[in-house]
Amino acid sequence: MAEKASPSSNSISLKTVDGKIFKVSPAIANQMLTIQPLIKDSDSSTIISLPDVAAFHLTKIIEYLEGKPAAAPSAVDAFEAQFVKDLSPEELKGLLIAVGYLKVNGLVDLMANTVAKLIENKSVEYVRKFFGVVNDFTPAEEAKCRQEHAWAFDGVDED
Amino acid sequence: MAETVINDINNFSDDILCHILSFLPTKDAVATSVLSKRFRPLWLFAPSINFTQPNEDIGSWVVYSVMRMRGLKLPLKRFCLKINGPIYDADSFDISTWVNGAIQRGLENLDLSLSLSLDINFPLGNILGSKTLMVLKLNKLKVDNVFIDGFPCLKTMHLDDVVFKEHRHLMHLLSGCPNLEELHAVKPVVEDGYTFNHDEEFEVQSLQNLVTVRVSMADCIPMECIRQVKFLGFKEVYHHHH
Repeated sequence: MAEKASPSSNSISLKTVDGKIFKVSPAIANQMLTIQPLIKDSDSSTIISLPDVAAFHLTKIIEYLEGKPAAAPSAVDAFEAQFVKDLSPEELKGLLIAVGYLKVNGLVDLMANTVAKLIENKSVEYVRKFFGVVNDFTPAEEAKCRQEHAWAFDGVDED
Repeated sequence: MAETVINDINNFSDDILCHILSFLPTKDAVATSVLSKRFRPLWLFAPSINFTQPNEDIGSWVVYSVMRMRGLKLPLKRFCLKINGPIYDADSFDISTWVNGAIQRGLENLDLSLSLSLDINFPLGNILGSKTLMVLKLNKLKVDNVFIDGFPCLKTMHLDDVVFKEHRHLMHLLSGCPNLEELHAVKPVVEDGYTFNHDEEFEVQSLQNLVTVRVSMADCIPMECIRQVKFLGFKEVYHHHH
């Protein structure tokens, strides 16, 4: 293990859950905080497996990490809006799970905020369906819970 | 695309769910407590209180109740409040109680918007100093009190339509924020019309770290404060009484 190449001169190989291998620069990989400790110990033959990340997600993450620094400071908002614009709710959720697992700089906030906008001012039933939540309250428990915060259930959008 | 991950709730960690909740209006975050047993306590751990949606219509008791339920142990990073939007019956005392409560919980970002027509003063003199506050945005409110402690870590200050009863109140506020990097002051008004001079009762040091300044009333902000600045914008909004 003594003859390791300097990590800064090597690209890092990342393997997604669906078996694709991506080569990224250390500068990009280091912004995925979860794998940072693994990068230090890796050489050009190391492949880091990402069990919760699909190729689609990693492609988007790399697009973000490469594209954001290239945008002018005043164009960052526009870049971020464009980045999430064509993603379906399922893709947004999947990407949020992936960036949450990898702890990607800046992207966790953007994805969490984007998902939050999808459930803002929606009914309880809508949000349960959105997240695939099974209601494990008895009707009496749920009624008690609603009563506790009755002010929070007025005036939501139609589903 | 081929979905290899099924994006149901079991794939979300509590951390990520709290992160989502922290971007929601507090009303929506609280409403998630009835989704399921897992969700029931989660909103309490989202480090944000946000009452700004104009379609909400709630009394100030709701803010007290939310603050009380969160207790003092749970950190609160962001506090956003729009009076004359959702909260219709708050006064100066309520606002200082909430802001101080938020500061005690390690507040980093305060965004307060009142309404000048309500004639509520923001009692800055009663607000605790904070070593955690980094962003302060005040909108449409009156400051009639003297600032005591200061915000040594504050980096961003936006004053939008803020009326200072006396010029020294503005100067106290600036002198309490020595590490300011960004200052936006759109339409600040100083009611006593006093402009800066060197015999001011306390010393105004240069704001060494200031990078961006956007002001509409140049005569309110002494040049000594902003001489280091890299980006300076003036925006003439209306003519001040001279």
